[in-house]
Amino acid sequence: MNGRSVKSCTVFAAQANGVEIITVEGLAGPDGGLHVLQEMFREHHGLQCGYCTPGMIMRAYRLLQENPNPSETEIRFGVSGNLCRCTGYQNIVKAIRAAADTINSAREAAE
Amino acid sequence: MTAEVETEVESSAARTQKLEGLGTKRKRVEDVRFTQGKGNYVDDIKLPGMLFGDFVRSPFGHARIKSINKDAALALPGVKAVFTADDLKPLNLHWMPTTRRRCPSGTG
Repeated sequence: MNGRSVKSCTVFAAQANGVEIITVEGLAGPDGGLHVLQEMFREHHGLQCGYCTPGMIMRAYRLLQENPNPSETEIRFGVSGNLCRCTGYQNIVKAIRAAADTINSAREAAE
Repeated sequence: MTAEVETEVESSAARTQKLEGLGTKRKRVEDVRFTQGKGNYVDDIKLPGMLFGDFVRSPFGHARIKSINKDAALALPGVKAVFTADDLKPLNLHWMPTTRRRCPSGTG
């Protein structure tokens, strides 16, 4: 919401009036391909039932903007407001770390 | 010696990968929709004439239910039906397995 990650359950509809909102549906590229975070969650089995995944991915999306190279501890702290009841957090952390690596490599290659 | 063992492990892994058997890493097909917010969960399902259900449980742990009076609940606007264990008896489903081994309606 206006660039920040928020939980829809703690935001009033009135607060969302007129602001820019990106949801997980808006992450895919124009060709419909998966965003690197989505791809890495898939690659590293960062989801099972998928219920928490939109929240996890959007939080990770913002986390990597705030901190493009987070440590495992920083990732764990960064997504601590999001709960997963299936798999535990190990693979979610792995997926976010892998996405950071991919994004950073692509950025370095572009420079 | 070590090199030989490693080679053996590698070829075993390569074989497993080729056969796509146990222990092979697979990408799940459903992850494409789940990671894009296209999952469909029970709360997303809407069918024509669908009603909402709610469970009423005893507010007292290990208490024996002597009777259930449905009148007040049925009198509420919008309430279509109230089911108790008595309604399940014709289906032989009234003996719900509980740790107390006793019918919830207290009659079993």
